[in-house]
Amino acid sequence: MIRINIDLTSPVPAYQQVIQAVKIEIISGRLKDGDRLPPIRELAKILKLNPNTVAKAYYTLEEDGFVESRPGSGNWVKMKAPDMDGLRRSMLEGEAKAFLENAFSLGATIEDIRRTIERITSHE
Amino acid sequence: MSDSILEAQGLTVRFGRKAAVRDVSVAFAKGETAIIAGSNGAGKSTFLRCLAGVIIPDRGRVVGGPGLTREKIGFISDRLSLYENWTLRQAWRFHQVEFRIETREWPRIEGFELAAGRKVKSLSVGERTLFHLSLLLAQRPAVLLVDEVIHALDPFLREKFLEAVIGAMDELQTAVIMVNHTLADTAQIPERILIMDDGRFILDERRDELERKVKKVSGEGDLPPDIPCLFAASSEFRQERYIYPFREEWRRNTTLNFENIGLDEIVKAFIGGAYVQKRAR
Repeated sequence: MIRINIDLTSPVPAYQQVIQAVKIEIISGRLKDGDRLPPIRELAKILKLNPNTVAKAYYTLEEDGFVESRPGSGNWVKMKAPDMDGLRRSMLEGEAKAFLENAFSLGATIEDIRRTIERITSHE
Repeated sequence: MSDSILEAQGLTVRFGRKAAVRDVSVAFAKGETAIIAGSNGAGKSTFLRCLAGVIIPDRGRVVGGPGLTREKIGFISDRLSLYENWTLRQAWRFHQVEFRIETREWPRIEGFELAAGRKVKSLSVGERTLFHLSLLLAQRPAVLLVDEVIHALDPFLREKFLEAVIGAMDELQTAVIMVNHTLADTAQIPERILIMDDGRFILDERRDELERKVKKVSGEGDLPPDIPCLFAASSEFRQERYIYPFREEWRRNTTLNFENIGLDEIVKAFIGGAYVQKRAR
């Protein structure tokens, strides 16, 4: 079963939350090449989303090459192993950018951030 | 609009000397999902009842899209119009004839079951609402009008209600127009947000557009005069100002921090702003 949580209070649009969640499922290996995604209506019911929202997310995933839509039979994961590294890197970059923005807004410098990361990782 | 399924043209409804709806024109597209919010007494329910054909407007008219007949409009409100002494089976038979429903099959909502021999009066408010919804969905409606029933449902029945509505939206491309105070009740279903005040629409935006256009500024500091303040909430310890419509360049030109906020807070700001204006008049 696909693990997706939609945060209603988040300013991130719901369809982008769906896209992000499906990408994470793929990167983590819980969804594999050739797996079938839940039908649009099913996912809309589970997440209490407008079916159009889910359809928009699936359509974007298809455009980005993560998903293949076969008319009449649903949406399928289409992800070859070599693509995974690039995807993992781009998602890590996105996460890092968001983190850095927060840290900079606290007034931290790159050096502060580096020291903090080192301190935390050495404790663990 | 050529693809509109239901359109209000210059609707005015009076109750005595007071106009509840004032010269309202708005169109709803096929398969669209809209929510109408607004302060108490703003005219939301009256407007919805006009769309449903329950109230005849004093002026203006409601125009249906091609092929839209009365049988294809479903209207559900907390004032349920079912005869109390009927059994559910009798209510279903009546509904079948009245709305010319072809199927003989007992109307069903997935995961929700009621015995056909029970009487309408024995049902709880939530059960009545879901039973009524099951009758309406049997009409295979092109438009579903939902007047403030969702907040009265317990979390389990609310889920069943929303799932059934989502199913209809997907299967039948039903347009759904809901009146509700909080958007949290309606999950992520509405794509379009309308806010009514004093008989008129003061807002009509796509959900994602609206989220982009409303920002909150917390803390001290004066707003430059060109930044439009929708509503200000302040106390000894906090000051919050809501900005609409927001422009990205203000992030660069000012030192203010423009925060994104959720839809319920956005709606609250619009209604709050309307109250302030009313007091000023």
